[in-house]
Amino acid sequence: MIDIYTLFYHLKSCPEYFFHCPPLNRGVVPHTEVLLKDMYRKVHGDFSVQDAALPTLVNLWQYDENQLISMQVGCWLFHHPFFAGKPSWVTGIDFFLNDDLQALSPFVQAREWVEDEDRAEEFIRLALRKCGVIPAGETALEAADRLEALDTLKRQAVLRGSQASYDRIREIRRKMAEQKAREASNVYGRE
Amino acid sequence: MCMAENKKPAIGLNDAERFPLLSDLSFLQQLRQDEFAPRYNFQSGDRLEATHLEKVKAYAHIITNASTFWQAGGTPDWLEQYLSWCRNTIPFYEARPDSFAAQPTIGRKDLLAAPWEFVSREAPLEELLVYQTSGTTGPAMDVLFDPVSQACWIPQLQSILQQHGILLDAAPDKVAIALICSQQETLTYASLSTYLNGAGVLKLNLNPAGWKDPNDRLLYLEKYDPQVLTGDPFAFLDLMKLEPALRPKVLVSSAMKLTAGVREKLEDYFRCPVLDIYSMTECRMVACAEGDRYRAIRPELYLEVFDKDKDVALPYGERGELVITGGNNPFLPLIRYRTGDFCSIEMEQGIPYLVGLEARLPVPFYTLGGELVNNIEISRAMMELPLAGFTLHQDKNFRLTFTGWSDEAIALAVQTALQKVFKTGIAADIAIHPVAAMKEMKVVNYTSAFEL
Repeated sequence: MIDIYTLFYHLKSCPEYFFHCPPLNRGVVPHTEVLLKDMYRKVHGDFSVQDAALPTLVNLWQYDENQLISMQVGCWLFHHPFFAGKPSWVTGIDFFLNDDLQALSPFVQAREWVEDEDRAEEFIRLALRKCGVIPAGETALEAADRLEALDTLKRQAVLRGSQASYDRIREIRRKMAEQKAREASNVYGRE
Repeated sequence: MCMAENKKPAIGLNDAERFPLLSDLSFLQQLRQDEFAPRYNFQSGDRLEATHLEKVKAYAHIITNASTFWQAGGTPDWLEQYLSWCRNTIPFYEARPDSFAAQPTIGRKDLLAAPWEFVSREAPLEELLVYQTSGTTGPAMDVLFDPVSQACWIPQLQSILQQHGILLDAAPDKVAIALICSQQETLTYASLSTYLNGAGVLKLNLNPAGWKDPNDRLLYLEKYDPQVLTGDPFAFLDLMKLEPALRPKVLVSSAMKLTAGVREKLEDYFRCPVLDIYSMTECRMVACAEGDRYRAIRPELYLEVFDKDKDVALPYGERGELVITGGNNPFLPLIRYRTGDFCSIEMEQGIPYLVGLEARLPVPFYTLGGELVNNIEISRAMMELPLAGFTLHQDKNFRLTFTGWSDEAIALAVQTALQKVFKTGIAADIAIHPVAAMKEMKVVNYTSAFEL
């Protein structure tokens, strides 16, 4: 068991090295790949494990810089000793770093995962959930509630919904004004 | 709260836009250019496209063929699906509970505050039309609708006429309907009905000021001899005074309740049935008088009666406020809308009847010279002023007592407006209170010591 605050302070201390992102070049192993493989081996608890036993990293070429740096921040998080020697969590970590961060990176800049307190907490809780870990001192329900309250994707959906509603209302009001100023069939059949 | 801004509509379309489906508009030109025609001050059309017309015809089929609306103790078949559609597509109803029984009532103040909240997300905004109420029974209000729900007033009327064995002749060279007004000022136009194959629809004001010659009123009306005359009791009484030689198939009073005395007078003179239709701007025709009760005419409206002050539905037979759910307007779908009118409901073979309906009784006011004043005139005059509401009473000595709610010093303007409507010399006591002191929403209230 681990509490959120321990991981929070660990994440906050992410070294600048994890924010570097040299351009990807053919024939050169990407910086992100180096960090990922190092982290996966640590989680495996076996540094001699073959690349083939690690999650495939072919997608890296498709990611933009913000996502690559976000994944590197994730590498730093999973370097915490709590994750070491837990090979059964590798699949969940792979899912978090690829799928979750891919969905989130359009809305969150990589540095916010460290510098913004809510985003840092969301990052940690999401990572723990993918590993099937409930933070110490919380029930499963409390942990789910807290994550929902921080959920960037949900917040974006609400904002998009509000914007759509706002745009619709503005359009209706514009149309009402236009129809009142112009001739509508508004009096047709009215006494 | 956002009150409807009082703007008069302006002419802004051409005839092809007013009647997209009618290629021959010669009858319209004839009605406008007739030597006896009034000085029409407006133009209006039904704006029905082919898809709209199909929907109007489909609606006509449903409304004329519905033999039962719902059974006593039950609800209409469409109600649950309608509720679910409202909850899914209309911002105002989004957070509503999913059972119909748990729905709260809404009122005029909700529509006044934000009419756009009632527009279904499925409603195409290019079809949005606006009508501003005259403010006869409350503050002026913007009502949104589309060409289909607009045009459906004719199938609604037809379904009522059919009950009385009356058929409208939908011929492109006849006037089907004339809306008769008798007001100092109102919009007037000659128009056609696409649904009735291009038959004429006229809106006329009997005020001689709107005609080239006062005698033209008779000559024009008699020449085109409308099949249906609709209007309020004041307008019909004024029409009768002109002694026109008309042969209408029916007279329809819809803006105000018809009293038995006025009905008899009109039936004697025009020698045709005089129908009293209960109608409201928010959803058009609801019911038609049959004896001393009103038969509901709309299978797509669910009618209930609620306690006046509490959100409690009352059983059949108990008197309360009429509450309406349903309609065919995607820009204003109603769920438990309080009408402000009172009655009880009786079910008979799956058809609801409104019993003891108290709605918009005509309240007669008189000038010192004994001339009848329609309270619509008063409402119209007051619409120009920043009033949140008002009451007006006339006593046996013709003295007026006006109480208004406004945050501006408008007593003098009210005095001037009353003098204009009642002609000079009328005595009026005027009191203006701050808006915060107004206790109810629907505060336009007329009372008179006189009877019509």
